[in-house]
Amino acid sequence: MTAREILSFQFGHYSNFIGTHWWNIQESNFSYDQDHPSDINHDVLYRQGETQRKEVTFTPRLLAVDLKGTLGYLSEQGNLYEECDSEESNSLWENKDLEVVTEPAPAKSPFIQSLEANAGESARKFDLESEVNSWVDYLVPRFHPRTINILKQYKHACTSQPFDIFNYGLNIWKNAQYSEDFCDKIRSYVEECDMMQGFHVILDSTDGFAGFGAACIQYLRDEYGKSILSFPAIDGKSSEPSAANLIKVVNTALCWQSIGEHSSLFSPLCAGTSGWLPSDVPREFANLTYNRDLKYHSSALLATALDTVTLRYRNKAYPASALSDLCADLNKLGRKAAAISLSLPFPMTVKRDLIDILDDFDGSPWTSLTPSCEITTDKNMQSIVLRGVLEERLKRPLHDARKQMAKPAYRCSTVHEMMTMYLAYSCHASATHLTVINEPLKIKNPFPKIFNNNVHANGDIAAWPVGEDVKSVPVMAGLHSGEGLSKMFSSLHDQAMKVKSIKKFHAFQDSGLEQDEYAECLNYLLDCKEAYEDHYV
Amino acid sequence: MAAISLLNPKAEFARAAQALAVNISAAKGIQDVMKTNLGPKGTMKMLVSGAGDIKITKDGNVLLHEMQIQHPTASLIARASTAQDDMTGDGTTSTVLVIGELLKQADLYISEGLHPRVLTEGFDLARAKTIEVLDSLKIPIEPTKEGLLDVAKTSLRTKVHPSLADKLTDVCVEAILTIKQGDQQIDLHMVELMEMQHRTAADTSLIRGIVMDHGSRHPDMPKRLENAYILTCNVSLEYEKSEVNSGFFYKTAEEREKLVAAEREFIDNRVKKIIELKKKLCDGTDKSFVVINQKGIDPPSLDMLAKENIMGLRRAKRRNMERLALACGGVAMNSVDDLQEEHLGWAGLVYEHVLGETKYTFVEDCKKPNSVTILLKGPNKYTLVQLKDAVRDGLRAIKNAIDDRAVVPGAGAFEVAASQALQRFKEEVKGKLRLGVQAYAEALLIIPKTLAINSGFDSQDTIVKLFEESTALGEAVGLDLSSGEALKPADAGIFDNYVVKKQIINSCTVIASNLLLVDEIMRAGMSSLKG
Repeated sequence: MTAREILSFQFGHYSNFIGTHWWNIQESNFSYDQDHPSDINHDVLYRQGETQRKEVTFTPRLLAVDLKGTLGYLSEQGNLYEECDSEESNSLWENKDLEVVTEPAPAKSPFIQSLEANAGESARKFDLESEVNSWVDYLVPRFHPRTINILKQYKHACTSQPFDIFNYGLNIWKNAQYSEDFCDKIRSYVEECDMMQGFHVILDSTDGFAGFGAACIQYLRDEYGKSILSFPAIDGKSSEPSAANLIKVVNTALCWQSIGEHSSLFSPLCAGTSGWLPSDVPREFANLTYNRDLKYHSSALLATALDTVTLRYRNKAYPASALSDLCADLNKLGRKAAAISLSLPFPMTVKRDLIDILDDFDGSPWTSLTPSCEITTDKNMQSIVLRGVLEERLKRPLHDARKQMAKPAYRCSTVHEMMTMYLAYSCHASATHLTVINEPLKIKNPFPKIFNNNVHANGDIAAWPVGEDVKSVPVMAGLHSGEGLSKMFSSLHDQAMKVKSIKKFHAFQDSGLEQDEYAECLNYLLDCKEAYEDHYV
Repeated sequence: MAAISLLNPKAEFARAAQALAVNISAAKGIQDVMKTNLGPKGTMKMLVSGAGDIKITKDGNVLLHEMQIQHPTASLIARASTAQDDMTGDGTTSTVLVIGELLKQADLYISEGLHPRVLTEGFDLARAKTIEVLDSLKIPIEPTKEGLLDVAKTSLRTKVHPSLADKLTDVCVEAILTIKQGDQQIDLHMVELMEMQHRTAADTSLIRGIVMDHGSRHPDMPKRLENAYILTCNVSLEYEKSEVNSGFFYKTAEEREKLVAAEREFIDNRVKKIIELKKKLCDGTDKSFVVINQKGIDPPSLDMLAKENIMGLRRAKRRNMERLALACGGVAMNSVDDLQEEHLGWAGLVYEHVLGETKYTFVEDCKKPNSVTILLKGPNKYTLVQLKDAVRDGLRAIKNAIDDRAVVPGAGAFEVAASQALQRFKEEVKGKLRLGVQAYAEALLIIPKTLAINSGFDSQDTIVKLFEESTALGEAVGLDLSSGEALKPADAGIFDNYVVKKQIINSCTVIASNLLLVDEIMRAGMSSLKG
């Protein structure tokens, strides 16, 4: 079966946290059972390869970029494609004239150690919350040698020379040598693909990676002309109000302007409510408790949403569905931004059927993961994916139906049908594309333990504590294009307006940003805001 | 108390003598790090990261970044060394050494109360004189193989093992002479460096044609073709569903299929045009046909091409389009309408080579290749990187020599000659400025001194020997690194690039002068920005 390939990018530290969770989630959902193959077409995001020893590999089709000092134990080349041994490897120079400078080997986290020790079940309990310092500490998949790229010019978490300005990233891209190597890696990946459908880009929008990612997206647009779905991410951790926050806002504004122009669709990600306001509170989920200050926690939520929402074009049932369709559905009339929503777990109450649950829903069925944007149910263009609700839980059989018979939804015979009906009735003036997948999201280590103790192993919600380890959950996630986004743009605009003159932040000016460009960027935000306002209904 | 501390009490600052001391000690520090790397007997540094990634280098800028030196002065010097590399491709270590030595010599006089301004003016006089000496030492050369071999060898021997250096010298000189077109500027991009992780560095070779790191993606396509027409084009042969048609607008699956089929036909027509041309030119002859496309070719199109025994490559490197046209002739086409025979290139042999999951395609036996490939081989990634750096520098050295149409004697000969000339020149200079000239003359000797030390000889002995010999012979002499005696560089075939030396003299003087004139260093970080 052919797949329509997607090449993924991760630019920045937080994006790599999200990405790592995403690849881990996918790997937990691999099915090694011949008789029950997965509904998900993994060939879309993964590639099959072969090492020099003729071993078959299955690795993410991914290019990840981070700063120096984040990799820890992980080798840039990856350890999958071990090099052929050679006795005279240093023959390029007299060995006696070789000064060897060795850095101490960094410690591996206990989770990684156990992963390397045995490929089998990791039954041990890990304290991942305190052990995870970097995304490599809970990275399950192994990478192709092309995958990891390090920006050597800057060091991670360095205060004297931070990589915190949009234009710094832009300037690195302009450095011919680096971008040539990077572009060649992109080209090699694309050359392998038969029917590529586009690119996924996750990028940190608050620091220099915003510029680097934006420059890369522009290059992809010029060179390949395929659909590009990008996710500018903001770490929603709490922070003291300071000038650094304003710099982040400026970076975000510049980033959105650039990716809005060049990507097919973008959806800002943040686990906090507002993203850029100092008084930021975390998004609340009824059945989850998570620590907003841990990148490891918040990125898991974002990754779950990404994994679910992209199932629309990653399932085997509808091979013709493509990324370009999704983008075409949502990016009409200059509405390049979309809000992303998540319902984790999708609230299937114990011993009740979907028909009753939908009937009793009150309030919003989803939580927004886009900063400063509430997703209304009305007047949306939306693409929604529901996974893990089985047909058995749809309704009672005829002889046992009782009250359910009276409900109009009783005539629906599939989850897809019933959900479509529900969305049609509850969302006014909306157009919805719904994808339903039977498989639930399997939860395995190193997914953080964030579920409340009233969640059953299969993801059902009980009204009392059950204290089971959650093994799988139903999830719903969606991309929505509607009025709420105008608030997001206006909030970002208001915040960015506080920087009246870019000259105050000389780092921006030194690295090549003009006041005019910034003013133009602010106007762009206002244009976007207006594009989402509906005055006709 | 410095004015800054009135405005910002948290500011850190260093004034006058203290500021100078900071700069000088930084320059000395970085000089010490780099000192051992100079020349063919110098050492390389092998950096092993915590995760086991290896890098072997003597490039000053790389070292500074990798070794996490974060001193502002040191990074200023490192930047001068990077600029040196960008401009000329050689002399990065010398830059660092000379700047360090200029500051060290200056320190002696400044500590005795000389004003830095006087010194820097002296430096400037000395610089002008040194350039004069450099011009007088120029040895004109012709861009022939014999003329270029020596300068390339001198550069490469400081980067790789001598036996390998000699081999690479041949490869590099041949490459440059092949792509050189009359008196036009040489475009080094027309020498493609292709890495192949395979065998050993000694297998590195010159291919008079193009090697690409991708192959055909269809099992039935020919793997080897002789006497081939080459069509290079930038035309999409891949069906792409546009984003214009939203999924909301189809009523049925059939409707959608119909639209897809109609769009598909558009691509098929392009492929048919190529096939038509192939039939016209090749059918009934022993000629064959290769399509190299910068855009994609999807499986149905590949299938059509394979049926006609056409080899099709997709997603060629953008720069290879230009290279292919130069190597094989023909033009890179942006449309397949009106394809003619004169648009096509020609190659005697096109074949594929598979290594692990990577395919390589060789386009060889071109009639008059104006673009060539150096195929770098090495057992592992870091060897390849090291090799690539070396070859790049070798190519640059040859290009510099051709551009200058001259070389200068190496092995420290120029520095010795310049130092002697400056000592004589000093007598003509009036006033305290002569101290600057004196310091400059001393500082230049750091190059032969370091060469001597790195080869295991005494630096004073060597300098004295060189001075005596040079005075006796009345011409520039350099140091023989194997015997420690003086030699004539021209006899030993040791030559440096004129432009490299000129750049070193100019940039080192400027940087050193700037550092000397610094009288206050302050750091007023906005503490609120952290976090």
